[in-house]
Amino acid sequence: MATVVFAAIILLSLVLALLAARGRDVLRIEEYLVAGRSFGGVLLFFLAVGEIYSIGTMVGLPGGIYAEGAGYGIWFLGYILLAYPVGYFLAPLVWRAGERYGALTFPDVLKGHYGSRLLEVTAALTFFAYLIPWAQLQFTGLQVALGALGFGVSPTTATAVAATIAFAYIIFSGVRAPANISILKDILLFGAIVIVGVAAASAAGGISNVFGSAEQLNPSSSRIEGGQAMTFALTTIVFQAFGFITLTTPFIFTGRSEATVKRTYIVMPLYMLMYPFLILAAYYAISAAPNLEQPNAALFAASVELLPPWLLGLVAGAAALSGLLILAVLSLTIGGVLSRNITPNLTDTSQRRLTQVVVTVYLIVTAALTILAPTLMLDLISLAYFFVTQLLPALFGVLFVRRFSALGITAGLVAGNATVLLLHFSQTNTAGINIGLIALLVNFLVTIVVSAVSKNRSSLAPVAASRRPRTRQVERSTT
Amino acid sequence: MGYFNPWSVVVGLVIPFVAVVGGVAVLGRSEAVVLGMPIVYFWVFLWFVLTTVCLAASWYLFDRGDFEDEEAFEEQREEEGEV
Repeated sequence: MATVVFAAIILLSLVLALLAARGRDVLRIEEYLVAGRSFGGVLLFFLAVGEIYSIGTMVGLPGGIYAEGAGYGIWFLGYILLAYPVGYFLAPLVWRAGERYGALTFPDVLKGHYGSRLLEVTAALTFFAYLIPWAQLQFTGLQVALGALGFGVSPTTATAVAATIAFAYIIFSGVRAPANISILKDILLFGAIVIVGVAAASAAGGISNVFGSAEQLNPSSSRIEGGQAMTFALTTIVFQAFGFITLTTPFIFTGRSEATVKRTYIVMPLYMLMYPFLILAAYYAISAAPNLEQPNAALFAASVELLPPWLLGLVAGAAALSGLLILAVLSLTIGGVLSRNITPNLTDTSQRRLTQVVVTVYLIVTAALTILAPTLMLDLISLAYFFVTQLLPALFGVLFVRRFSALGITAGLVAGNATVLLLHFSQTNTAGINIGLIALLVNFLVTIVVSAVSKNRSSLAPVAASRRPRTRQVERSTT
Repeated sequence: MGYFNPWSVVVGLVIPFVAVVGGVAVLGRSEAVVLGMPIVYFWVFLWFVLTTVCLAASWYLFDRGDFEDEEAFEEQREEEGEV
């Protein structure tokens, strides 16, 4: 029964993907990547929610709490929550920059603003660096979700099937497919999580019992114990709240106006009201299913105990859908960045062929990494943010800071990424401080110093200094 | 930066940041329990709602006026689309 429900959900999503293309010329690249900048508040909300609350949320958060306790739960909730105030103020400007430069990708914005090939390519490579752990995150979640259904499929088969479905979504409809599927997935996800949470609370005999039993097994599970865990939680919240804006540029561009983008951010925190239920499920798993070999499986360990088979199928289906959706969007992002920013001079035919090869290689490599080196999902999220947040000085240069030069930003990006690699792979002890934050400080410092000595800054005004083309604003500013 | 209304920044950005980051720093080690859950979770959950309240306040009190004509234009376009 679980399998039937699961299969029905996946089939329905494929139908939605096909329907999404009706009446649209998806072969036009702008339509394909940013839906012609046409999404109103509702679609924008669902696409955004669909991208943000990925399988990393549903499967990764309980796994993080299960393995690392409250510190991980809190940094995860805190950074997403604070990303919305940051987005409320910055995202409309990102949208304006996108429109001003006709950008479909973030490196497009840099190309338009600075006209520097070097910076454009460096930024594109930074994007690729973050996309690897981000895809690993989705694949890990998909493996866990399929494993919970008890098919006994090998991880290799599971990842191969997942990659194929993700590819099928976008081949027909571009970004419209994920937006349509998002609506199905967001509703299923919300429902599934509420059901698991309520079942956990009632099985344990009340909310306080859920936390109480977990605490008996592991006293530190419901508090942030130790200075390092606290430092890590606080620095990660702040660092990733700002990194979020660089990670979400692709969907900001799909909005149809600055006002639409701004208003969408006001209501986004409310979708987070599903998290209390997910947290309950996570703490239930700590006491009900101790000693899991794979902490990522915590949510499904709880679900198997609590739910009838058809509901288990629903939960696994919602989780799988969210993972597949992100893989589809990631493939779109890779294709877009590659064809527009790395090899813009190829003909359409060789462009398309190269994109397909690279997307395939990317899916295979990340799938292989997932199988060879299983990682706690929340650690993969952190790793992705280490890289993508390094684009922040570039974004600030475009939006606000006229003094930053293209060479300065490029040098900063290289220094930031190098710092991340060095600190991450040498496993240096930073006293709990998020290493992405350290790298970002290095990045800003190098950007400022190199900008001071190099002179190729943009001749264009920063985006925030330009007004939207409106008569009333002009009148007001002259008085 | 003339783009941002300073009051809007205080209400929509500074207050949520101070409340959430400060709240986690102060309450993260507490053993107090509210509604059956550790107080740090209760505090963060509370701010899911309060952050939207703050952002709505920023929008309706300070920022909306700047977008009036853009919103009017959008409404017009929507009506035309329905005809």
